[in-house]
Amino acid sequence: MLVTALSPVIGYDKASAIAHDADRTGRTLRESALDSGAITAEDFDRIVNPATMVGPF
Amino acid sequence: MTTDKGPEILKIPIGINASGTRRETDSMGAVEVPADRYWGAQTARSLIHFSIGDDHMPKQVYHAYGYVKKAAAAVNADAGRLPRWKADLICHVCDEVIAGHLDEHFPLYVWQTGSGTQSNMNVNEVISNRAIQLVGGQLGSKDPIHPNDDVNMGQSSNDTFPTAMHIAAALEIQTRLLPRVRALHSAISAKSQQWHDVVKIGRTHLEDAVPLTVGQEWSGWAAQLDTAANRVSASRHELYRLAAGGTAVGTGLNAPHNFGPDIAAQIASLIGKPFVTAPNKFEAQGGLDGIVAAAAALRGLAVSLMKIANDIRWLASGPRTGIGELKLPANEPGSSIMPGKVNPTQCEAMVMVCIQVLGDDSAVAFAGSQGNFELNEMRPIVINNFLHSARILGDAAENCRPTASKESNSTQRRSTYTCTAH
Repeated sequence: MLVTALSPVIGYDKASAIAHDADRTGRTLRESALDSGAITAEDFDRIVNPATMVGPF
Repeated sequence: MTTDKGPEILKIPIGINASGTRRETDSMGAVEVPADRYWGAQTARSLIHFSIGDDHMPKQVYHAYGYVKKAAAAVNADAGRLPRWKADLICHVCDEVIAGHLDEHFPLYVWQTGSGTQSNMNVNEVISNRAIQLVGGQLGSKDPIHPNDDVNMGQSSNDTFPTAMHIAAALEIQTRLLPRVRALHSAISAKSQQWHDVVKIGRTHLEDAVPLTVGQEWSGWAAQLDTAANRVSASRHELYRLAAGGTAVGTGLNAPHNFGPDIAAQIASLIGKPFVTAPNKFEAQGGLDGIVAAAAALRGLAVSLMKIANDIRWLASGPRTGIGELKLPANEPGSSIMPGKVNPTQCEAMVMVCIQVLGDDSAVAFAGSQGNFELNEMRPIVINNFLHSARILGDAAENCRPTASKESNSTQRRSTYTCTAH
């Protein structure tokens, strides 16, 4: 559920659509996210980074 | 035999057009009761002294009691002990009780006398007052239908409450639980056949083992359910034995000759199931073994359903980092923070239901071991837990069925294996 990190930036509904699309098509989350047009590759790589998601501080 | 013709039964709809309170009496004196309710003094006293929690005696117990009172009135009239017109009047009201039309007039809690006497008197009082209303009499007058002398004729709470318990339990199994469990079994069997040739890896000790087919795995679950349902069905054999006729301590004091077999035959005829008089009333009233065994059968069903539900949710784990062999229907968004999350919520509800059933059964077993000498007076908790278990198991089975069903096209499309053997 790495997609969760996108919610504050693009909103829950767009993030949900991306997650469902990736699950349905078997694509990576990154592919679906970029294909949606809701986020740039640069922002995605910066935001969806497990190493920065393990704590708020 | 009394053959006098009684007053005409008026066409008065259920309900009392009154406000404030009405004075009702019993052997301890007068009590004020709500004027728009049919219950009497003993019910009012129970509400004062036993307002414990929010657990009310299940309505199925009262519906079952409707059969008991109707059968008793018919037997008493056939034997000439009760005027036929009184029996007809009582039977008329019993039909309203059985249909649930008087449910709001049975307000008592589970946590009351351990014999269920207060609920029996609640039934007697409501039938009495509703009957009085139907012939234009004065509520609370006990005339012409007396709650004890007429409605309770030849009976004790100690034999009728156990009788109503068995009827309610058998009917719940027959009408709600078994059809739902059988339907879930059919859905799982269908999937077993659909996937009979899909090979996957078997697992033991949570580790990879040797291959089997998906159909074989599902056939095991189907067989578990079939066997568990058969055990529940067979448990009705003891529930069909009725204590009625034993009266206070099993000897049948104040009950006329052959009352036990006669009332059991009447109940069997009314319901259309093979109810018989219990061969030993001391066993039927001093213990709760029959319904303890039936509750144990529900426990067995819960154990099987919990295993199946846990297997399914593990196999559906993922979708990216879990086992991911199953794709379950999505009921709802699974998370308020994690977008797109789908959880095996139907399985989780089933597991919680099964845990509750194991707890219900533990209390039933404890209660069954209690009571002393001629009466086990731990009855309300037992019937409450039994009916609760049967109800939630049946409902959970029904709710879970789409998870394993091919009836819904969308479900069928999504309930396919995404991967098989690795």
